[in-house]
Amino acid sequence: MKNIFEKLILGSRVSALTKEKLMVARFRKLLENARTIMNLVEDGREKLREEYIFDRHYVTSLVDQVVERAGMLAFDAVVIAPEGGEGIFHLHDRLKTAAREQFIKGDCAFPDNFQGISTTPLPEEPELRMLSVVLSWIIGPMPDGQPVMMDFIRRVFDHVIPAIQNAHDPEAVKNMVEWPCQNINNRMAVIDLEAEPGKEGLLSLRDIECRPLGLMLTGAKGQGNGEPEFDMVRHWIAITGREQLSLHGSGDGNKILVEATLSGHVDADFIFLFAEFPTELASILPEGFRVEKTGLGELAWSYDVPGRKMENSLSRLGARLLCSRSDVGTSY
Amino acid sequence: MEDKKLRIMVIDDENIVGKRLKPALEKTGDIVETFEDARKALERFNETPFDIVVTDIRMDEIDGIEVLEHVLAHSSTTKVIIITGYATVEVAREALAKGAFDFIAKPFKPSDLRAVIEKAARQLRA
Repeated sequence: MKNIFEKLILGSRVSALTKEKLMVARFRKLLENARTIMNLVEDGREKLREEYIFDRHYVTSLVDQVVERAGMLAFDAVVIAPEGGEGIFHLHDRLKTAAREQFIKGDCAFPDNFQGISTTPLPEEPELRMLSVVLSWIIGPMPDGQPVMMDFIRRVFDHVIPAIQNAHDPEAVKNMVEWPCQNINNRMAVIDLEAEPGKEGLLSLRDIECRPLGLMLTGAKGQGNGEPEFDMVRHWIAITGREQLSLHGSGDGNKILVEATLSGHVDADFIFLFAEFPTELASILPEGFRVEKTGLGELAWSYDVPGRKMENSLSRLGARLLCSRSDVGTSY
Repeated sequence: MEDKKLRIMVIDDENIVGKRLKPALEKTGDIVETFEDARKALERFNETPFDIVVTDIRMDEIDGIEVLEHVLAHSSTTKVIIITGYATVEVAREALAKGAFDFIAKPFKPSDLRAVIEKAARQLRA
C-alpha cells in the first residue's frame, strides 16, 4: 500500500515535517474516535443499568455509530501506518458484517442463555437483551470466542504505536530538519507547529537554561560530589502548538510518548501516554486515567476533564516520568 | 381538578415503551392505558376522554402527527406529548406548531416524562 501521505500532497516532495504534522493530526482523530466508542459504551451501560425507556432503534443506532467510528479508526490507523493496514480493515469488515447479520437485519441471533454483558437475568423485553448483547459485541466476551470491537481497538493501537515510535526515530528527525549539531548526544528537537517550516530547532539538553530540567531530561545521575554523571544517551522530540503538547523520549532507557491537547473544549481535550516502563504505569498516573496493556507496553489516556485538572495531571506526570529513572530529583 | 386522577393514554408501537411506562406512571395514582395500535387508541379516545396523550411520532399505520390532529379535533383540553425516537427535530417542531404540548426524545427515563406530565397537569388545573 502506497504511503497515503504521499498521495495527500501531490506534486512536491513530502517533507518529513509535514508528515509529522499530519501524523499528529491523524493520531488526534484516532484518539477522538476511540473515545467516542468508549462514550457510546458508557451510554449503553447507563441505559441498561437504569430504568430508561428506549426502543430497538436506539440499539441499532448504537451499533451503526460504533461501526462508523471503528471505520474512522481503521482509516486513521492506516494513514499513520500504511503497512499491514489490510488486516485492520479485514477485522473491521468482519465485525461490521457480524453486526449487520446479528443485530441490524433481524433480532438477536444468539442462544437464549446468552445474556450479553449482564451478569444477572434480564427482564423479558427483547430490547434490553439486545442492548446487553450489543455491549458484549463491543467489549466482550462473545460466544465461541468471536472477535469483539475491543479486539479491533487493541489491534489499532498495536498497529500505530510502533509506527509513531519509528517516525520519531532520532536519526529520521535529524535528516528531517538537517540538524546543525550532529555530535550532540543528549538532544531535544523542538518543533513548533505554528512556526514557519525551517524554524525547527535542536536543543542540546546541556544548554537548557533551566539546569534541573536539562539534567532530568538527560537522565543524569548525581555522583554525590555535586557533578552530574551522564550514563545514558537520550533523544527527545517536543512538538508544541497552540493547543497541543507532545513529548517523545527514546534512547538507552525506555520509551515514553505523551500527547496532550488543551483547547479549553472539555470534550476534545485529552492526555495520551504510552510507556515501556519497568513498573506498572498505573502506579505513576494521576487519578482518572484509563490504562490498557498492549503487546508493546502500557498505554493510558485521560479526557473530558477541566483544563486546570489537565494541567495538574501533565505537571505530575512530567515530574514522575522524568524523575523516576534518575537520581536527579528535587535536589537540583 | 386538584384531586382528580389524571387519565393518561400512551401510544407506541414498540411494546417496551408501554410496558415500562405503565407501572412507572401509575405509581402516582394516575390511570394509565397503553396501546401499540394507534387506530385502537383513537377509537378508545372517541369513547372516553383522556387528560394527557403520550404518543410516539413514527408509527406504521397512523403516525403521531395524525394522532395529535385527531385528539385536538375532539378535545380542546387534552395535552398531547410527543415521543421522538429519531433525530426528527423538524417533525417535533411541526408537532409543536400543530398544538402539541411538548416532546420528549428517546431514550428517556420515566421521571423525565413524569416531569413533562406534571407541567401539563398544572396547566390543566389552572
